[in-house]
Amino acid sequence: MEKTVQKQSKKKGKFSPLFLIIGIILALYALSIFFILGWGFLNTFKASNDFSLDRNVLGLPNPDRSKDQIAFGNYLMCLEYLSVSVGTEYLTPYGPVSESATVLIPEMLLNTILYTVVSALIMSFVPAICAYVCAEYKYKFSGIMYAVNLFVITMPIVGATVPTLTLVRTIGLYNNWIGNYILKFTFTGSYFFVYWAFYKGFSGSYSEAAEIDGASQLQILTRIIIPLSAKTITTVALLVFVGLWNDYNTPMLFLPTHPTLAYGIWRVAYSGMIGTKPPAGMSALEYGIIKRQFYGVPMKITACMILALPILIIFIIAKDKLMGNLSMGGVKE
Amino acid sequence: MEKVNKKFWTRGRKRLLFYTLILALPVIHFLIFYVYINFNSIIMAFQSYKAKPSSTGYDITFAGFDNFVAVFDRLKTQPWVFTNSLWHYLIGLCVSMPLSLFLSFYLYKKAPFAGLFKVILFIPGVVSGVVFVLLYKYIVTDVWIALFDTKSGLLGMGADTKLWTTIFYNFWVGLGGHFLLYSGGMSNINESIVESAKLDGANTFQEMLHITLPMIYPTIVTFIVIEMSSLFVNQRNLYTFFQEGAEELSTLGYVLFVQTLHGDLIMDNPKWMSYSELTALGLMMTAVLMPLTLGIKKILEKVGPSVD
Repeated sequence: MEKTVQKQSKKKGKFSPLFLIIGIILALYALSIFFILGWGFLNTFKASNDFSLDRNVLGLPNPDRSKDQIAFGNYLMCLEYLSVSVGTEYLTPYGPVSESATVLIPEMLLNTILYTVVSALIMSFVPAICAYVCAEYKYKFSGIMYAVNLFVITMPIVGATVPTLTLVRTIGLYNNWIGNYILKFTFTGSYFFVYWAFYKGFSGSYSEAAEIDGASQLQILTRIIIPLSAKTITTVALLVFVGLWNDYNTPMLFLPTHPTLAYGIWRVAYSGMIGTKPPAGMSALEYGIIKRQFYGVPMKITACMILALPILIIFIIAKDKLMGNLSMGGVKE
Repeated sequence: MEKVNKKFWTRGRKRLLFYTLILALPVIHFLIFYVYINFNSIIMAFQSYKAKPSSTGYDITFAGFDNFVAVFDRLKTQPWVFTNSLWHYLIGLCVSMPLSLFLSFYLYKKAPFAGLFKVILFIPGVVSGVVFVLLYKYIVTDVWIALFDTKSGLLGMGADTKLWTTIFYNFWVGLGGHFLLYSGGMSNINESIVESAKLDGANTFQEMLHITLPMIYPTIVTFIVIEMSSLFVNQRNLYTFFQEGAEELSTLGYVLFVQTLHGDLIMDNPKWMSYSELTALGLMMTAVLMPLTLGIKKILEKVGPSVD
């Protein structure tokens, strides 16, 4: 009887007019996403003249015009020659400071790894460890930490970026990796609550048994707690990694001469700020010819695809982890 | 000596030492980069910076309310920043949020192709806004011109068309943004409540209206409060679209970001604000947002549906 009721209710859900309307909306949305990404990818195989002069914005690449581009020519050119000139000028109590750099894609990729991987590790471990000690060690201060975090994420305080910039410039933490990592070393944020709820659900018998066996508090944390919470920490780290990979505002503000892929490609695609120095062994004239190609639409889209493709691949591989429900009650599979 | 040491280092003391050492750095970080920063933000808003005649460093003087007056005078000439911010927020609240709820409900009930749609809804959150904005820009300009044989695309027409083109973009990429939040709440609903509603004859829409939405109401309140708190801060991808040229499309969040990017302690270029003026702007926005957010939260918690 129960199975029949379940089958009927499942049937009801599937053929509901509400679901039909929502399904159509979702289908249209899916088509729009596929169209925009597919259109972008298609145009990375066109020459600038094919797209702009011949107005071939919707069709397939013209083999006569885009012979090299069809053979991934735009991608190869981007990876070899795309560079961006960046700089910053600011005041400190010790006088004005001016810094600049011209950065190629390999260095942008290195900057991206330094920015995303290390920052994601810091931003996933620090709140995890703080949440564990607050959940496990029942001191009054643990309650204060919880309340402070709640205050921080619910109270909208605007305009902290300017005094942060002023402070880091004054104490020498501006525009360098150490400064960036120190800024990320915060326990506040919504993931603290995810971890806190997760550790609250932990049985105290794990740490008690380890203490009886003579383990120190540090050993309990590193050999029992962290391995047991590896799934949650990995999920949070992945989510943070994706956000950092795509973030170009923060590197623009705090790491102006260490452009990540997102920041560098934004500068090329939107501001047209291609690097001014020709690579070693190339004349300024030759470089000028190559630079002109980067002002074309297909090349700008290619630069964007170089930014998008790695994260899409990571998403396809880790989509179960990324899309798993991360709730205040812990990780749901 | 060893016996004394062992007596001193009791289990309780070892735990306390470990607790203190683990939390020391994060707490110091919080005190510097939250407490001190926000305290300094208030102080900076009442200060003025002037270059020293010797040209290294600067002198700091008390500026009273001069910075606030300067900010007010500047914003008076750009009234659209308030209306634009409000439009973006209202579309998000009144169109995007309800639609996201319906989409999340569809996925929660594992309706046809739910798995595939879930993946697709995630894509705009995974791929950088730099990519999507660029592609969207070319589609609403070059592709639009090619398809409709017009002289200019949507971003080349009047201010209203440009505004709604950017609002539509934010609506379109933001649709899947909150489904993780909602679906997490929906998956926590006790199945027996749903089953008993079905046995009582509730259809899908009634189930959503009378069970699902009330049960995830705290999650909805969280979203509304978070969105409210970013009302004046979110630049709505405008910098990605227009860099420094958004002009009559600007929102307060955009103004804050662009001015922070180009401002400095001492600013001679009248186009850009000094950092003192920016902190004054931040304080003014906080003074408005904080009571608004708290008030909205209190009202929503009082008038919301009861789980019973």
